[in-house]
Amino acid sequence: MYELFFEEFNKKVPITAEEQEQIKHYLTPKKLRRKQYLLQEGDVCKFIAFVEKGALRAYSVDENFTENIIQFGLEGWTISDLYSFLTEEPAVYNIDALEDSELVLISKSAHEEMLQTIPKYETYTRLNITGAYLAMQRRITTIISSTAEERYQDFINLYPHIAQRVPQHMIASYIGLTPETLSRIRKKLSSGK
Amino acid sequence: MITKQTITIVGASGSMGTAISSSLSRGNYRLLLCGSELAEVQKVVDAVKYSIAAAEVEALDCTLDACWEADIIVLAVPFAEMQEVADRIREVVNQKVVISLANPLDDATDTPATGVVAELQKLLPYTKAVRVSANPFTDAKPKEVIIAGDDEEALETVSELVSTAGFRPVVADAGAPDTASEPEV
Ligand SMILES: NC(=O)c1ccc[n+]([C@@H]2O[C@H](COP(=O)([O-])OP(=O)(O)OC[C@H]3O[C@@H](n4cnc5c(N)ncnc54)[C@H](OP(=O)(O)O)[C@@H]3O)[C@@H](O)[C@H]2O)c1
Repeated sequence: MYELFFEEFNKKVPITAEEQEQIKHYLTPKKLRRKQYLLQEGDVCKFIAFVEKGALRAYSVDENFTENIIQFGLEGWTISDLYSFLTEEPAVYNIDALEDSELVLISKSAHEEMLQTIPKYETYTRLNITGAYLAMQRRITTIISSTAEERYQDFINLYPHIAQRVPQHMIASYIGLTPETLSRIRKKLSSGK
Repeated sequence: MITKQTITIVGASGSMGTAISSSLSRGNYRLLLCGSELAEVQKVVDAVKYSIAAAEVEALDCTLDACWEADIIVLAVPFAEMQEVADRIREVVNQKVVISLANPLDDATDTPATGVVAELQKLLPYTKAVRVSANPFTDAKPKEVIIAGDDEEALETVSELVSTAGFRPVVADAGAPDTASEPEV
């Protein structure tokens, strides 16, 4: 139920069995079925979700009802509307499950309490947020300055396992292309080989 | 709240369980119903769907799985059964709101000295324990329902739930008697 969570935690910050037990009390185990929402736009995001099993995505919906995928969450990753979580403003993202999933949720109140009482959790949080910041900067740079083809190849290189698991139109959405453009690029790349 | 919350009701085919299931099915909730006999629970599901076709309600055989999926858990079982249920669901209800409808007086045996909330909290230490009971001292309409517990956020969540069910929520003062001496309605 928490195996992967603590495996990843220990990679970032090694903890003792007692500390693990202490942290465990603050965690919320939660199962989500495919297509169910973890969060809908307009609600305040009250948790950070760690994916033990399954796959989720975070996306916004524009005025043409097009879904724009912001982030995927696969095993070992965290997913959330961090902006909403930290500011307590209504979320602008929706988060739903692409597959039946098992999550470990950290609620805002549990998060605050652990930051106060468990120094290693604070370190863990710092490393997580640093990682999220780096990923975001990289993503912005790619979107601003890369060609469509570069964006796709970047994605495949960085996340080969996602490419195998989610439908092409979602990958297109994530890298900011129409499904048609992505399909053309894929054809071009495979014929070029 | 816009995001649909999942509520698991344990003991859904009992008289309280049936009533709660049908009144909550009006709200923006997904209901998972459990009980000792799946066929009995399925009857409740069918009845709820018969009156509200759009209701998202389902009978589940495995109480553990149902509570693992849940955001909120309602224990509609007698006070004396709380321990048995708690033992079965303990590992999947951490940090969740757990509501007891138990009225120990009614159930006669083993009345606790400390009250239902304290008892539930002792059984499930890392949950947000809340007790919901009808206020026997008023005939007000809609009916008043007393909500007792220690966690502010949980009390808010349960108040919303009680309003959805068509009752008037009244949050008990912290430290007010939540004891077995409360008369039954
Ligand atoms: N009825 C009221 O007006 C009222 C009002 C306020 C409070 N309450 C309180 O609410 C509680 C429930 O009352 P009730 O009238 O609804 O009783 P009930 O009709 O006997 O229902 C109890 C339900 O719990 C199930 N159950 C019992 N033990 C279980 C276990 N270990 N695991 C899973 N399910 C179990 C029973 O299933 P099986 O029958 O299949 O075993 C039954 O469906 C009591 O504490 C009562 O004092 C009742």
